Amino acid sequence: MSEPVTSAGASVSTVLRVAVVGHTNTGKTSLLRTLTRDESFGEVSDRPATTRHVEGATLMVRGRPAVELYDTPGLEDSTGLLDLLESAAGGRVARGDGLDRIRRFLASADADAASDAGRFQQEAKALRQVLASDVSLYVIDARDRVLGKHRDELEILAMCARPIVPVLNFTASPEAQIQLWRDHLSRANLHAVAEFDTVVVDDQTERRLLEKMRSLLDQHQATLSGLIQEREQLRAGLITTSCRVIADMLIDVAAHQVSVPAMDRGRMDQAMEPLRQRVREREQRCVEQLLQLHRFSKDDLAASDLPISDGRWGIDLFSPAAMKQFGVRAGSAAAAGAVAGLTIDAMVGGLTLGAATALGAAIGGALGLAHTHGRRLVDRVRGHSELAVDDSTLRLLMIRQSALLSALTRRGHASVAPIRMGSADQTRTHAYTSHRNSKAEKSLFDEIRQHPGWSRLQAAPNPSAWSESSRLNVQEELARIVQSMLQRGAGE
Amino acid sequence: MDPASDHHKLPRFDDRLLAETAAVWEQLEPFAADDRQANLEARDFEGDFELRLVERARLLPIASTLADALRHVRGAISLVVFLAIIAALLAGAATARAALGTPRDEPVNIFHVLAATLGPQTILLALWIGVMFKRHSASGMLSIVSLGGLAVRAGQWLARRVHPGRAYASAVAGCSRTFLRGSVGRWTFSSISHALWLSFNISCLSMLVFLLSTRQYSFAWETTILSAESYEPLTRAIASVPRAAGFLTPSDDQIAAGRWNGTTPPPFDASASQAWSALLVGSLVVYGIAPRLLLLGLSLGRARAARRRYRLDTARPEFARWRDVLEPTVHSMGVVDPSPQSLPTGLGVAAAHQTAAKASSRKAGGLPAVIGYELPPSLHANAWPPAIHGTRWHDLGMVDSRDDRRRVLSELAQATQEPASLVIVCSLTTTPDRGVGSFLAELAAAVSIPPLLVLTGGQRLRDRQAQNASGMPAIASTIESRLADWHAMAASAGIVRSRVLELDLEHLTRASQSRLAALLATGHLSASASHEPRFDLACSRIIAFADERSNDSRQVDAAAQATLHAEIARLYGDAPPRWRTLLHLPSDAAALAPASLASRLSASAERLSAMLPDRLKRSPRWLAAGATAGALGCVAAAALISPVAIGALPIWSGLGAAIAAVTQPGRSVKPDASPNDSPDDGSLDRVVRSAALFAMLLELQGFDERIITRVLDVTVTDADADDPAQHMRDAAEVERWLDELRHRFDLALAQEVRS
Repeated sequence: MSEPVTSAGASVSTVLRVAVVGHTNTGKTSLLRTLTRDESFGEVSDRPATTRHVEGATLMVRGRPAVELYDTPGLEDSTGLLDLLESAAGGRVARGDGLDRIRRFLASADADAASDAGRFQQEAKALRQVLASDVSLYVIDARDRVLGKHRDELEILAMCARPIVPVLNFTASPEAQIQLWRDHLSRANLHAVAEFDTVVVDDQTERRLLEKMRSLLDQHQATLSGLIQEREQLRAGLITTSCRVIADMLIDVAAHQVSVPAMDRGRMDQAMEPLRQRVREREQRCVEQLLQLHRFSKDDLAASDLPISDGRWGIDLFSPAAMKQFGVRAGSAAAAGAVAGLTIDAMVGGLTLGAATALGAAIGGALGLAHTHGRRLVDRVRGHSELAVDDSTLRLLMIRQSALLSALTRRGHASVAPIRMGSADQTRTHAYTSHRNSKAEKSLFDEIRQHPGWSRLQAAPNPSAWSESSRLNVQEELARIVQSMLQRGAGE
Repeated sequence: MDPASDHHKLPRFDDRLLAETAAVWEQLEPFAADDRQANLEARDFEGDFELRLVERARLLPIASTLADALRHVRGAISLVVFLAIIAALLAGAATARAALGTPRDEPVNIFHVLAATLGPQTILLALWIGVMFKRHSASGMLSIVSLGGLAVRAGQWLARRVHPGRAYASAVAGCSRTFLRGSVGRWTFSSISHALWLSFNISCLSMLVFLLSTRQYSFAWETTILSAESYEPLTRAIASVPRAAGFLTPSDDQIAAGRWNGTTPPPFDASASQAWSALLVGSLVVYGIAPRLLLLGLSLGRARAARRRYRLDTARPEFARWRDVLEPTVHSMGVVDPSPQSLPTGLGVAAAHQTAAKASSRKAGGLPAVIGYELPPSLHANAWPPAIHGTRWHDLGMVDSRDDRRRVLSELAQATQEPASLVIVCSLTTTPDRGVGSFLAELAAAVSIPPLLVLTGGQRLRDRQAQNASGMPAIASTIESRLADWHAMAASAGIVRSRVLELDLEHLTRASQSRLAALLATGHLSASASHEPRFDLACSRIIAFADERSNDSRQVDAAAQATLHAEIARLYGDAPPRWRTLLHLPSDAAALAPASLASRLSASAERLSAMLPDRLKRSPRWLAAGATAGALGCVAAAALISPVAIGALPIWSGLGAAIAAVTQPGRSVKPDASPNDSPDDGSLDRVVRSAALFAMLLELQGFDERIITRVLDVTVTDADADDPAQHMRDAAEVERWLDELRHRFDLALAQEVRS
């Protein structure tokens, strides 16, 4: 195993160069986008010859360049090229002879971009990059049949005398013919085949791809192991951070309270609306933070089932539809609201028992009345009460953001279509809703409500000295709950 | 402490504290931090992400302000701790003074003194040990219960009182995040607590020794409920540790003699008193000072180690957000080898020239030849060669590989007679590339008449798109762009647009068969109506209508609509007038007199609406479209029977009523009452739907009514037409919609014919 050596010259040699090649429109640029997690890399479309240049990106491990990836134009006319390569020799090319022949072709007018005769200039670009690389990833659209053109491409690539890792793309499609491709590739002596789907990515596929490369490249084992390890760590860290982001939002929302005259329904509604608005804005900020963390742009998201469009949830947080969508029982929420109303009644001597119960039930879907102590007790004696966001809404917030997070973690950066929830996500949603850890969750929410100072929803946040540390503790605990919910969702 | 001075040293705890503080600062002032320079410099810092974060905080413009604030906050904490130590010293002395300050004639109760000096602190020590076992919550609990925690909080409170402002708020919060949490907090609080108790004990001891040196005390013990037998071992047990440490302790006799009965003072025994006071001093040293001293040393050591080990939690959002900036995982190299000005265009024409020369010298007359290029196996198993009525093929087979290409080209070149036409079938699921392009060019050059390119697999492509993004408007455009790519590719291979045909061989319909047959026969897409299916003509008429109207206002008046319907009806004019019976329309002009026309209108509107599948009946839009088609069909019939200008027919007042009667059955018919939800809003969308419905009806005339309903059910898929977003607004959208409709209509019809 070769460790990176200290001298600059030697460490350069451990950088692994990878050329991504394949037929046109098989998703080479998409693969690069996913590997670099950079959705702005190159240009992607369902059309031929979208990429006509060679573009590179370096993957860093602990701040040092480790792997250089090169995106190449598609090999469109491999048949013609193979004809050309063979016509020069007047027959099949002997194995050892291939590399010379490729070199001769690259020096010829056919490969010359400047000349009009250079009808293979695009193929030449790709092949030049293959020769300059340590390994080539040969991207295949697994929905295609094994055709002559693919055999020709493989034959040409074999002439280049570089290790090839075939990458089957679009494996998630029902049309994908994975076994057929594997059979064919093993017949071509290519056994380390990676499966990949640049639209639907799960954490293991990328790792497997890197492992396949590692198995072929002895002298780059350390580099690739380092890359695999770093990717795992980053991924784990990213999920932890995302859960903390969600937890932070939940604390801001749960701790937030407004004091209103208790029984005046009209004014209560008035008082609730700015509160709702602040909560909506906070949720939106959380969505933006998550998107930014996962490096997705806002216009990347628009959806039908998971209704994020323009980076926003389409269904209002406080609408019953939102509760229904994620299976949060609006009925229980209404009851909670009613109970909160009764508590207030007891405090003011049951003067308006009926009114408060009715009102509590009416607003139950959205808000409950939370009781805390201190100044608030005084408020209550004065006939004021405290409005806080109720458990169901908090739960909905939590589930909604977790659903978004799990969609984000499984999404390739190459996917052109917006995020939406497929059937798999639907079962995940059920996993969230069937998640019965709500006791710990509820007691945490109750605790948070005791600390209005934790909320940063107000215009001027001002962390008080000691609540800051307990807020962080609660944030971490809540983040753990979110994470366990996420794992349960993934485990379904 | 100065961030600039130890720039090149490894970061210390203070730097991390600064980073924590800066993180709070940035949360409070999200837009204030001008950090670009700091980010750039920190990115080049040699070290991991955490070190770069620390470095970044040191480089921030606000860093010195925050460092000052931190210094002040920590100063305030130190001040409070200092004051607390003084208070502890005073308290210690006072406790000793109070414990020994009994009236002269009474002996000092030794256990009271021990309890007063050692009691509270021993209880708190036990509590401390208990708390320290709960590692996770220890610092949180200590910050509340321990003297150290109280001191730190008081210091923070003091700092906040003295210095308002965000920088101090950040500094206080930063201190909270580090000192009030984790092992740093745990051991810092412990250190302060133990230091305070140590001070207490030392001053207590000093005062005790001072009093014992300067005054004469006699010591005793007394009890009411306990027996002497239990006291003596207790005393011995307490004395055992000081004795082991070398302190003089009372002997067993002295202990027994030390009991006081409350009335007469025991005689002063100098040696016994010495032994008792030595026990007192020894106990304070052994049980008070020694453990606190040890624990203080331990705590200081652990606190220092904890501070040294302290690392920023890079998973926290406020730090993690800098990862991409400070330690990018990807570095873009940009374009290494730029794209050419123009792509190669001459698709291997040079290679094909010879065959072209050869081909042109032959004369055409063979069977039409057909080639399948990279087609899915299901197609050439079932539908190959394409079954076109009255056509016998010269099947050149499938082309999948280089060998196939060579074989086909040589077969074409060697054939004695040139084929009457050459049909190349490609799949739309294939991305057109230069490889297929050069093959097309070679084929085009091999025959003298231009080949016909048939693009199959449209449904397959649609299915594939639908899987990727159901309900996305992008689908249509993707299919269109794929078609456009094929057209472009064909054009560069020398095949003109009119010789490229999208035709799904896997779903071959009568209409598409005849289209292909027509092309084979005439060589070009024929404009003559005899070969053209009427439905296609009707569609193009509707598109033309939409095209005229899209520049106009959106509202289409009924007369124009009726004219459209009449034109469509005229297309089917030569067919036996079965559609009239279908709609229960009379065949003589008299029955269509203005007087009876109104009732006729609603009758036929109802007829057509009844024929709609249930699914569509639920859509107000389709229901209205059906009613309109029916009513206007009646008008069209009238126009056909007695060729008058439609505009002259005095029926318009009845039309809206007839439609409204169908669409809103429960309502009294008042068409002008609510113009907003009047079903006949004359929007382009509705006009197109009703005209298309009418055309389909005419195409289907002669079929059983149930079949008509079934075909309509399969054909019309967009039942969500009530969604305004789905509405057609211009000719292009109309064309796309009609195109898909026509395709499904062909399919549905073919299925009915087969079954």
